[in-house]
Amino acid sequence: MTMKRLSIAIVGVLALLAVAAFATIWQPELDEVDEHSMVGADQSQIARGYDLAQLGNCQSCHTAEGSEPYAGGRALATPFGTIFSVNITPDRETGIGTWSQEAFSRAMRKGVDREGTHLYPAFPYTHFTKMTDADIDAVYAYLRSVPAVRNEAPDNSLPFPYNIRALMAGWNLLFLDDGPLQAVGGQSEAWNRGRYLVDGVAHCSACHTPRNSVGAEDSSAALAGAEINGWYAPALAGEGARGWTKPQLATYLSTGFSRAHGAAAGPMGETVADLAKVAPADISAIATYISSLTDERAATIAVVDNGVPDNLAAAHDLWVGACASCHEPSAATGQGGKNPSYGVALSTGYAVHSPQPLNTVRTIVGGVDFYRDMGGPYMPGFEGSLTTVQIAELTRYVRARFSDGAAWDDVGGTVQNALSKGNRQ
Amino acid sequence: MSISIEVNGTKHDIDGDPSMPLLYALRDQIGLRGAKFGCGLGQCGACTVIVDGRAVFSCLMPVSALEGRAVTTTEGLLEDGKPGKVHQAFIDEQAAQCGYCISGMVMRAQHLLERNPDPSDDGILTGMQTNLCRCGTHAAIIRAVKRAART
Amino acid sequence: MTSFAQNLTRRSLLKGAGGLVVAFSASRGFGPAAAQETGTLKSVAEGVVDSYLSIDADGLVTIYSGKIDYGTGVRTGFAQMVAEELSVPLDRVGVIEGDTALTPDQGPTYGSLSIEVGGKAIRQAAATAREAMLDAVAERFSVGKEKLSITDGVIGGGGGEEISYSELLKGAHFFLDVDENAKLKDPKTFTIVGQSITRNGLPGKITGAFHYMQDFKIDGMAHARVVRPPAMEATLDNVDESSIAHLPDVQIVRKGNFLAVVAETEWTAVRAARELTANWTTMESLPDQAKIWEHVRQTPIVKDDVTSDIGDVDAAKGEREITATYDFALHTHGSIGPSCSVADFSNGKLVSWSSSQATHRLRRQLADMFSIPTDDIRCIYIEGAGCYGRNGHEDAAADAALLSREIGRPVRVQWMRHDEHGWDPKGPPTLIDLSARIDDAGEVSAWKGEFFIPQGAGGRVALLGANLADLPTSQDLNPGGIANDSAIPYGFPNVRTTCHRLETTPLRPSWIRAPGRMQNTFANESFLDEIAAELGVDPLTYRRGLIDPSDGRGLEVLDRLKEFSKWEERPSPRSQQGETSLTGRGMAYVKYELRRTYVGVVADVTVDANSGGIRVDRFYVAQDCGQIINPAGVHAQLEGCVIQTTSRTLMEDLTFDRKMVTSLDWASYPIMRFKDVPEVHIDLIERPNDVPWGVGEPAAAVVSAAISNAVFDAASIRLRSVPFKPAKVRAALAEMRG
Repeated sequence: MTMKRLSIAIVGVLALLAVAAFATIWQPELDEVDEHSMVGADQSQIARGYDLAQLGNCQSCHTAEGSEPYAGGRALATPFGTIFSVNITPDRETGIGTWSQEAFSRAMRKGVDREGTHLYPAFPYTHFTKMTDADIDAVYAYLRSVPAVRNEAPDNSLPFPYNIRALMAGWNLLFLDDGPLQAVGGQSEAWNRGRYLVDGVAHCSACHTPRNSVGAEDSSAALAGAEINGWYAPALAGEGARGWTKPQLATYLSTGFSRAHGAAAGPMGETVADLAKVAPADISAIATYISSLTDERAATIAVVDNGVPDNLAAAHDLWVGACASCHEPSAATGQGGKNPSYGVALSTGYAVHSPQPLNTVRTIVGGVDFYRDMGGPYMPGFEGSLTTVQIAELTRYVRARFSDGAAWDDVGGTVQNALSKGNRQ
Repeated sequence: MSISIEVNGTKHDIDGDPSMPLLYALRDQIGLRGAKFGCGLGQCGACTVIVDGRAVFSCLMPVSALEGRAVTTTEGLLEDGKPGKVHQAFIDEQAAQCGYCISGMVMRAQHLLERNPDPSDDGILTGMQTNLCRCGTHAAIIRAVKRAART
Repeated sequence: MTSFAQNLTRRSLLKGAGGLVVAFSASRGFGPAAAQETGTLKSVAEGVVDSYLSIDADGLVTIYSGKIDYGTGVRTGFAQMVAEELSVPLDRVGVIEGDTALTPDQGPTYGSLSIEVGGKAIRQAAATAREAMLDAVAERFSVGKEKLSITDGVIGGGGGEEISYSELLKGAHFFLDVDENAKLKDPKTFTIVGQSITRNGLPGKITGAFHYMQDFKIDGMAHARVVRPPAMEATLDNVDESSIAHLPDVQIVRKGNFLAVVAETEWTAVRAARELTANWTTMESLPDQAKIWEHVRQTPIVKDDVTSDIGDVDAAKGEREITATYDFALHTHGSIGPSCSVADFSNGKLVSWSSSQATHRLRRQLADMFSIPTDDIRCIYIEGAGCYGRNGHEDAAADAALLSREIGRPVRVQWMRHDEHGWDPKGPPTLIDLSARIDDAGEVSAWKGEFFIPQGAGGRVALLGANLADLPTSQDLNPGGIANDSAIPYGFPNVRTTCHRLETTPLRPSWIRAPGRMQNTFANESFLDEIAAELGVDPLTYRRGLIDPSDGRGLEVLDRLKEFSKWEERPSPRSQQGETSLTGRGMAYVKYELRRTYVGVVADVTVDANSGGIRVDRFYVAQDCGQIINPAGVHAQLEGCVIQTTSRTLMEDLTFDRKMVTSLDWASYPIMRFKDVPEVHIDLIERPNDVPWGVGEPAAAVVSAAISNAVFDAASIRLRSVPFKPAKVRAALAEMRG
C-alpha cells in the first residue's frame, strides 16, 4: 500500500472513530471571562509561567516575523498544508482574552479551544497534557500578563479532508494520552524533572521524533531524529544519537554552543534563544535526562580532516576565502589565539556527519544569527555572496573533507530548495 | 591565474590567489580603499559592498566566486566625482565620528534603499542592524538614512 | 568647506627659504621623501609660538598640534580657535597633528583635555602672533595699534593702507615666546568659534576618500601579520616552517616569543599567519574569572590614595548605616578597525606611522626598545579607526618597527580582529565599597568610599612586542587617572574616600574613555540614589540640596536638566506592580574631576520583568562645558558618550580563561547595534565668556548610574554590577520576589 492510500485509509478510520467517539468526547463551549479576571495575579506565578513559556518556545511559533510577541500569524508548513499559529495575547477579539483558566487548561490537555472546536496537533497539546495543573495555570497567568495585541491570524490552508477539525476527535482517541506525567521510580529527582520537562512543556520530540502518515509522533522511534521544516533534528536517543555529557548539553542548551558539539542553528537556534532565559536548574534537569538517553562515553568526537578533496580544488578556494578564518581545523582547534571565539572544526558538529545535507546547506545559506545582537555563536549567511553552484560545491567539499560519510545525494536540489525558503522557514 | 571582475562598471583583472577575498582585491590591487577591514569574520560590516544587488561582506567573498558578477563600492556611488545621494545625506547629518564603519554603513543604507525606497523607522533599524559602529554615531546614521530616503 | 578639508589633508612639508613652509602636494599625505628625516625639523618646544603656528607665503595658516583628532572633531575645533583669533577664513587654516618632528609634545591625547589644554596653548600662541603682527604693523604704518583692524588675514591701518600676514612675514618664523597675557578676542565678536562646522575630514570619510592609517602605504612596503601566543604567558618552542611552504615569498620572523610573518601581499600574510604551525608552552597566569571579585579583593594593596577626607567619618553620629558594593567589568576598547602601523627602519633611523595618541611618548618608548637616541626616531600620527583610549596602536607601532628592523625594509602591520580583542590593553576590573551613616534627624552624617583599583597613572603602557621579543620596555601598570571622581561633589559633614591601589590587575591595563571616572561615578551616583530612596526623597532635588550653594553652574545644570527632561519630583521607586513592562527614570550628575565640565543626565528605561531585558529608551543630557567651540562637534561627542556607554553598561563583559582572553570577536564581545540605540536629547548651556572644557568623557561618566537608578525606579531592584545583563536582572527580580 502506498503512503497516500494508507493515509486515506487512516483518515477513514479517524472519521469512523470520531463519529463513534462523538458522544463521549464532545466538548462544550466554555464561558467567557471578564477582562480583569487576572488583576492581582501573583508575580512569582507569572515569572514561573514565563520560564515555562520559554521552555515551551511558545513565542517562536506564535509570533510572525516582525510582529508583536504572541500575536500569532506565523505560517507553519506541515505535510498536510499550512497552518497559521493563533494569537494568544489577551486580546478579547482576536486573542484568548475571553478564555478562562479552565478553557486554557482544556486546550493544553485536550486540544480543544474555548468554543469547543478541535485544534490541530501542530499545537503540541499531546505534550502539554503531561504538565501539572500548577504549571499550566502559571503559563495561563503569564499569557494574561503580556500586552494584548489585535491581530487576526490568517485562515489555515488545509485541503480536504484535513480541514475537517472534527476528525481530530478520532485522532485524539488514538494518539492523545492525556493527563500529567508520572515520575519513574528509581531515578533521581533531576532526571524525573528533566523527563517531565522534555516530554511535557519543552515538547522536544515534536521535532526530534519522526511522525506517521497522519502526523502523530511514532512512539516506537521516540527521539530517533526527524526532518522538520527543511532541517534535520538529530537523534537524541537510540543508535543514531551522538553522545553528550550532561555539562556539554547544559552549556549547549543555555548558550547555544558547545565547544565539543558546535552551535545550535535553525529551529534549534530559536529554541535555545529562549532556553537561555530559563532557570539553570531546569536546564540542568533537561541535560540530566537527555544525556542519559545517549552514550555519554562517546561524547568526545574525533576530529576528521581528510584533506583537500582531489576533485574539489575550486571549492577549496571558496573554503579558504570564505570559511577557513573560522573553521580551518588548525585555527579552530588549535589552542586559542588565532580563532574567533565560536569557530569550530566542522567535524565537531552533527551537520557534516548527517545522512542528509540539509543542515549543512541551510547553515551555509542562512548562517547562524540568533545570537548576533546579544552575543553567542554567530555565522554570516552566504546566500547573497555565493551562487547556488558554489554553495553546492562547498557542501560537497565539507562533507568529503570533514566526515567519513558517503557523498550526499542531490546536494544541488537541496541548495535550491534552501535558497527558495529563506532562513526562518 | 587571473580573474576578471567588474567593479563600479569597470573590468579589472585580479592576479594571484583565487581564494583572496574581494576586500583585498579592492584595497590592494584596484586601489579602492572605501571598504575597510574590520573583522574578517562577517561580523561588523565595515567591508560591506554590493554584489549583484545584494549587500555582502567583502572580507568573506573569494574573488574566485566573482567571475561575471558586478560589484559596487562606496566609490561607485559618486556622481561625477561628487557625493551621491546617500553620501550627501550622511554629510548633511555629519554622520561620522571616526568614520571607519561609515563606508559599510553607506553601502548597507544604499542596499536598504534600493530594496525599499521608503522604509519605516523599524525597517531602517532592521536593515542597518548588520553593521557595527563603536563611536555611537548610530543616531546620526539613522537620521542620515531617513534623509536619504526623503531625497 | 571642501577646500578647508583639502587644505588639511593634502599638505606635505617642504623646506623653503626663510624657514619651514607648507605646500600642497598630490594626495599622498606625508610621503616617505618628506619623512626620512628624524629628529626635529622645526621648533617643537612648548611655550614658543613657532611650535604651534606658521603662516606661509600664500597666507595659509598651519597649526601644529601635539593633541590629535581620532574622530572627536578637535582638529576642527583647533582650526576654529585659530581662525577666530587670527581673523582668517576657516578654509585658510590647516592642522598637522602628532608628528614628533613638527609638533610640540603636549602630552597624550586623553582625559578630555585636547581643547581645554591643547587648544588653549594653540589659541594663546595665535593671540601672541596676532598681537606681535599688529605691533609690527602699527610701527610700520605709524598709527596707534587700536586703529588697526584685521579682515581675512589682512591688517588695515584705517587710512586705506593695508598689509596681509603673508606679506608681513614672507614665510618667516615668528621667533616669539607665547605670551600668556596676550589678549584673546572678545567672545562677543566671535564669528567662527561657536558656529556648528562640518568636522574636518568628514566628507571623505563618507565617500571613501579619507586616508586612514589603515589605508597608508609607502613604496617598497611588505605586509606583515603577527602570530600571538595562545596564552598571555607562553614560550615559543618551535615553528614549523613547512606548514606554510605552499604560500609564496613568506618570511617568518621570530625573536624570542615574538612571532610574525611577512609577505609581499596582504592576503598571503593573512593566510600565512593563520596557517603557520607554532608550538608553545603555555602558562595559566590569569585568575579564575568566576571569582574575579574575590581575586580583586585579595590582591595586595601597595598604597592608599586618600582622595577626600573631611571631618571624621568614624566619629559621625547615627545608628543607621547603609552599605553597598559595586563592580564594573573589564572592557576592551573595541575599535572597529584593528590597530595598524607602518615602519621604515633603515640606516639606524626609524620612521613610524601609527594612530598613537601620544607620539612623543611612543618615540621615547621605541628609543628604549631599540636602544637608539630619540633623535633617530620620528613618530607620525595618522588618524585611524577610533580608539577611545590607549588600544593597540602603540603596540602595532612596536611590531612594525621591530619587523622593519629585522627584515630591512618598510613593513605594514595590520592586527587581525583576534589580535585586537585579545591583546589590546583593557579597562581594569573595578570594585567599590560604599557606606553611609544616617543620623537621628534623617541626614547623612558620613560618606565613606573604598575603591579597589590598580596602581599607576597615565604613563607609558608597556609595549607588547617589546615584551615578547624580550626588549626593554617599562613594566609599570598604566591604567590612566582612575582615582579621579572617587571624591564626591556633595557637602556631607564627614567624607572619606580612599583608593586602595592594587599591586596587580588581570591583563595589561590602560585607559578607555573616562577611565576610573566612569566606574567611580557609577558607584557614587548609584549610591547617592540609594540614600535618596532610603530617605524617601526626590533624587534630583536631594542632589541639588547637597551641592555647594556657591557652585551656581552645577545648580544651573540640574535646574536645566529638570526643566527640559520634564522631571517630576517624587522619590524612587515608582509604585507599579503586576506589569511585565516596567518603566522608570533615573538621573546622575557629575562635576568632572570636581573641577570642570558639569553634566546631568536623565535616563528613561523599560525593564521586562520576565526576561530581565533592559531597554534604554532615551537620555536627556544637560551640560556646561564652558565656551563651546563647535556645537555640532559637542553634540556628536555627547551622542557618542551616551550610546557607547549604554553599550558598555548593558552588554560588555570581557571574558578570559586561566590562559588568555576568550572574547576574541564581536560574537563573544557583543556591542550595541541599531535596534537598541536610545534617543539622545541634549541641552547645552552656553558660556561664551568662560574657558572651554572637554566633552569627550564627562557625559560618559554618568550613563551607567543613570541607567541603574532608572532600573531601580522601574523595578525596585538595584543593579550594582556592570554590565547589567538580563541574567543578573532576572536574578535580582527573583530575589526581590522572594
